[in-house]
Amino acid sequence: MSEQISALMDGELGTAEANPLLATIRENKALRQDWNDYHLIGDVLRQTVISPTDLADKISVRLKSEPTVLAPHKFAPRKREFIALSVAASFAAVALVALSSLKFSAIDDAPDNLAAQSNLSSNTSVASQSNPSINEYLVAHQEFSPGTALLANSNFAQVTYTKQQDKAR
Amino acid sequence: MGDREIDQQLVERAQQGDKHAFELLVAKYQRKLGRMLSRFIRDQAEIEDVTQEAFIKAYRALPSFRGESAFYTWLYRIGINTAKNYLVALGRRAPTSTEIISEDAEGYEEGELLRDNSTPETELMTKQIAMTVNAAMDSLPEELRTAITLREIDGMSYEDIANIMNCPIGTVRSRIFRARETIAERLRPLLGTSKDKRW
Repeated sequence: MSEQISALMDGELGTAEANPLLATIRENKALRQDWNDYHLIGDVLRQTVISPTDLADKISVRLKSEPTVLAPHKFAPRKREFIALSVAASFAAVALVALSSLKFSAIDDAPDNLAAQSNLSSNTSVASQSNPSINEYLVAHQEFSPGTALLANSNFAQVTYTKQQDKAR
Repeated sequence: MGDREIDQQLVERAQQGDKHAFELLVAKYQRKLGRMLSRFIRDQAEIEDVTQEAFIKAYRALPSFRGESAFYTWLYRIGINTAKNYLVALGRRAPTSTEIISEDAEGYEEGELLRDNSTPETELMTKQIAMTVNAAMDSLPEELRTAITLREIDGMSYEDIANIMNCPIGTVRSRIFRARETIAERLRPLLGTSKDKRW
């Protein structure tokens, strides 16, 4: 056990070995004395010693009259969990926004495809011809639409599409 | 587990109410802190009082220690403040901020062994401890003396020592331990901590 203490002091024990050993040293007076002696030897060899008095005993006596310190627990794993969740949520939000933008820019970039599928281009012109007052209203209020210009356009397109469908019926 | 991790482990135990864990930190750092305080306070008895006070303050402040700096760096700051307050209370000159800043807690190099104004008794005891350790070192077999010197004075890792001494790491570990134990055996009667007196 003393040899392990010696290695522990030198930072040469792994955590798995060091943690239980530290617990044992704390509970065992003889091992605590080894810990003290080995540190004293190191200090003497490095010429640190200025006092032969072992203050550890005096401080130990004073500590007994001190109220026990109880620091709030650190919830490190929870903190890590929280950070991981935050990062995941951020990525999800970014991905969602990016996906939405891509979706609408795809609509914007490929008007031919969209027109081919739904005749939207012609529908829009049909709508403007069929009901110019609504069209003007929608254009005038485009800036108040909740999303980007793309989104506003898409809403407008949806309205005209519905009207066209009604017309077809 | 490195030095800082060991300290952190002990601090966390102490923060959960384990006073023995804090005592291990006291045993480890009392001389280093006392040596640092001796730069500001001349009297040996006063140094001991301030050292004790600094440790007690550190203990009380443990809940606020979050491990952002090394334990000794934190303790060092408490020690400096305790010394300043002590000197101010006595109407003596406290260390200036320049003196404090120029001091590097982490890389603090040890120098003098003893102040001139120690009492004859403490000086004698200190000399006896130093002489006993030195005599024990001289009596060590060469391989033990080299191993502990490379570790304690040169601060080398076991791996480096093993390379230098051309032996397995396990042998280095064993040699350093045997060296420490041999010296400790010689010291214990002087310190009154012989193994037969511990139980």
